[in-house]
Amino acid sequence: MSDSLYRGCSIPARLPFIEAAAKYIIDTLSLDIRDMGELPCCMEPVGLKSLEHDSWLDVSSYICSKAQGRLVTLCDGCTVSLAGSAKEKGSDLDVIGFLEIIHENLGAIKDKVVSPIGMKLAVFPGCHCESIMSSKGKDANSMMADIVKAIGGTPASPAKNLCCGGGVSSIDDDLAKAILNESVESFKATGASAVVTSCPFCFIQFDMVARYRTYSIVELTAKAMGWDADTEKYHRGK
Amino acid sequence: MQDFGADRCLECGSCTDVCPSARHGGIVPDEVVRNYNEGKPTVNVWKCLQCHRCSAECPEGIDVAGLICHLRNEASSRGDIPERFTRSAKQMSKDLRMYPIIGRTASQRANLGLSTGEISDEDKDAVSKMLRGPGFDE
Repeated sequence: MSDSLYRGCSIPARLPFIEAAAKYIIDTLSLDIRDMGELPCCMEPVGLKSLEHDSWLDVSSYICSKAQGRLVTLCDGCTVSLAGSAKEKGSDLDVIGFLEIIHENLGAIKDKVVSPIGMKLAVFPGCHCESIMSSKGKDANSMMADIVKAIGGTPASPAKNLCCGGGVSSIDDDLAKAILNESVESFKATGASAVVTSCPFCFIQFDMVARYRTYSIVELTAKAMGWDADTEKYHRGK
Repeated sequence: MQDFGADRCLECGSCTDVCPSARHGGIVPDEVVRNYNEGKPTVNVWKCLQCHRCSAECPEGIDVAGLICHLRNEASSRGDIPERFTRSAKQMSKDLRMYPIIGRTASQRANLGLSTGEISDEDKDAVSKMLRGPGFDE
């Protein structure tokens, strides 16, 4: 049975190059993942879920009900939201992020690498990615480090338990800035030239708010595999 | 009633040790759990990042982040909603998406060879009826 790709709304609307990179990886590896098409928001787990539990549960369960095979997400917020509702409903639906798709195909990806990335990168999967992997007994940091090595980069480890601060942005901006700055300083202290993340919200906070050089793990993997799109214009960080 | 396992709290402080918000003067997760167990009100629930690091770290498996989300639901039902999330709810009610695809991203999508489709009427009707309660009623 094919797996189902849920694209969410953050990446298609704000960072579409990550969606294009994911499609390149799916096509190049001939992965059996079917696009679920245009669907409503997953009722993201930071704000909308906080407002009304039953609305969140109904909408996210509705999206889950549309999936066949595993439900593959591009955004780790979607993973948390949809996996949470599946668990609460007692469903055995397997909701997995794109980081897991890349990691489980690492052998095939290595064989396809034509442009090794050759950068030292601070590895920061993001809180939601780490949380969902931890619930499955996996370590998102080591998975992402495996991928960075496989595509020709050198992973570096920043401090633990960091966050991009996006969850309190526009609620307590001083707090959000302090949390964001702590992370960026930790990335810089590794001697890396940039940070690599799995989460679109982290990408926006680090790249567009802090103006620190940030890459998506999906983007870098596709690039290493020969994807020739000009993604430089989508970055703000230096 | 959801069971977050709060009654198992050992007051070890592990949740607060890993909390990025607590490190910078925001929410203090172990205080939240203690207040909840003692029936006391909790402040600062909106200073939680919902990063879930507290839940992942708790040696007793308490879903601290889930408890805080529950307390946010309660705050929300009293009308205590940050303006940011009021805007999110309005946006969701309007387009069923947190972020609509507008001019600049529509053109980026076209350049990247990506489609820009519409949510089906069937899905719009079904999901619109599911949005109710604080934030979604207006």
